[in-house]
Amino acid sequence: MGQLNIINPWSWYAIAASGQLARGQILPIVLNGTPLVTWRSQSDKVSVWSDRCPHRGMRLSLGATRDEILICPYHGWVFGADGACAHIPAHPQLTPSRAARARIYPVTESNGYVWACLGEPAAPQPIVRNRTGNALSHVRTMHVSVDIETVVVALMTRSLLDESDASDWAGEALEWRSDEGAVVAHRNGAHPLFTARLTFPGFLSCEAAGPEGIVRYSALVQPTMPGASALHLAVDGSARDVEKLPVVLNRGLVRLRDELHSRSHDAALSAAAERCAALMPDQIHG
Amino acid sequence: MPKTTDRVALDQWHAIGTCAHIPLGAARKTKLLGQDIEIVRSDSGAFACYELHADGSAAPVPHLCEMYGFLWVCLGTPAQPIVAIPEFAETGRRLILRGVIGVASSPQRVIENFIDLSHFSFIHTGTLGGYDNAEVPKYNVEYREDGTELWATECRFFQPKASAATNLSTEVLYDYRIPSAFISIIYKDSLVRRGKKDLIGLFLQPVEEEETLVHSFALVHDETNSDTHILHFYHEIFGQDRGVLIHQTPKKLPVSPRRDIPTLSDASSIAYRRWLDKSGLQFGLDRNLS
Repeated sequence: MGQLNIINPWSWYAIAASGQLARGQILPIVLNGTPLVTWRSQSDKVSVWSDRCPHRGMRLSLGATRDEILICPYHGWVFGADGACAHIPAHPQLTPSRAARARIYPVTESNGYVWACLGEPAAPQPIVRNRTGNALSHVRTMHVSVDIETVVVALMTRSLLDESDASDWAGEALEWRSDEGAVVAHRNGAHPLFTARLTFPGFLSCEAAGPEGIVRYSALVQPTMPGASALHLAVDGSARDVEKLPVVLNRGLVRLRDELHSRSHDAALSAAAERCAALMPDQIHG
Repeated sequence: MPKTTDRVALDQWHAIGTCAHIPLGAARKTKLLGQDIEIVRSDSGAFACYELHADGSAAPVPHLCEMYGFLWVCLGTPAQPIVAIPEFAETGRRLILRGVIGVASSPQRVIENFIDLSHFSFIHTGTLGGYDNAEVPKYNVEYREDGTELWATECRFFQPKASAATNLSTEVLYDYRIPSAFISIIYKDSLVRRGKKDLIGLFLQPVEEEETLVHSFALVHDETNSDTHILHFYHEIFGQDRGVLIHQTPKKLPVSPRRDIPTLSDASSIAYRRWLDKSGLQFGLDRNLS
């Protein structure tokens, strides 16, 4: 694959739709090979930590939450939302050492998603620029056994509404350009309209002609384990505007996953990746 | 993974199963310290052990011993005799052999969990501990037998159900013995015979650095329960521990004091890690500084 630079330590990556993380809920997440735990307190504070208790390395994601605390299941160590251990049941009178703290990662919640960064975020919020300025409505999350660069390129070369078998996975029928700090792939003329904008490494915003008009969807991509990714699919607009779309888009997503897992388009996708990489600005912030 | 080159690990005796597990005239394959081995039992009952090599050849292993009903193997030259447990020869207790359980973690992680008291209230809630009595009183750590054995003594904990034989909620006294990196034995107050101790022991078979087979036994005073009933009690407890062990990272045990943050009740674990660090053992240990 061409060097697409999708994974970097300054980007925000969506790790869950806000609705997937209720108050008092804990989720284990893997972001670029790093096991993380994300949880939401009763006051709606979202945290992202290393999924590892500093005491004896037990998974915090198997613990419990209550009010504003997370409790490790092994020895019951209590962690506040700031990551510091506030209480050790084996020694109730002891003030825990300041070294006893969970490793915390930058987290933010916006546009209906929880986002995490593995390093220092370049921007305080992910810069979600979609054409309409509408909210994003989450459709579904799909996990694929394909690296994130391939997923991004596949989403850029083919509309999720395209049900045809003959597909230009190499993106030769597309016009590629760099525009306002985004990489854009655009198909028009005799072909059904399709535009995909890679605004920042974790976020793709697409417009496609559908049977009943223009459909706008966004793909928030998350590198998980090596060679695997999660794709959070959203529709631009409120849920009411887009009643039928989730079914149509989900069909397209399942088709995409099956095509990617078949591995029959690797060479073509490589060619498309090179086109995309050539236009990639050296620094994409977001 | 090939056979380890760690001499400290190779020169120890390791339990690899019970004698009864291999019928007369049968053979069993297993793995020890990365090395495939086979135990063969003749029709007359004698055991022999072989290292199995990739080219199909089999090299005899001279150091093979039966003790306490278990088979012990040393793939190097034994540096110490097999741990002395005189209680096996005493009468009055029942011997419960607890089978073999695989754990995808290092043997040292298994031992560290076995000697830890502060997880009783959270992992063994309702038996070995309860939420209301999670405080761990101070205990002693000492070395015996010329520094070759690590002991944690005068450990005490309030237990709702300390053994299969009792439903009496009471404080129980524990001593922990660690005579080698891969063996630990608990000496615990019997609530059936006052003044006597029950023994619960682990003989770990280090298969690979992050893979262990746990052979265990209990020597207990219990006149009321069947073997199966007692076994269920210990299996439930070990199942709870295993549920933690498979989720700990790293799987190898860190020995640097800069890794993992201990607290007061971790005195035995701190001593165990230091003792391992000084012993020169490599197998199963994570010696990274951070």
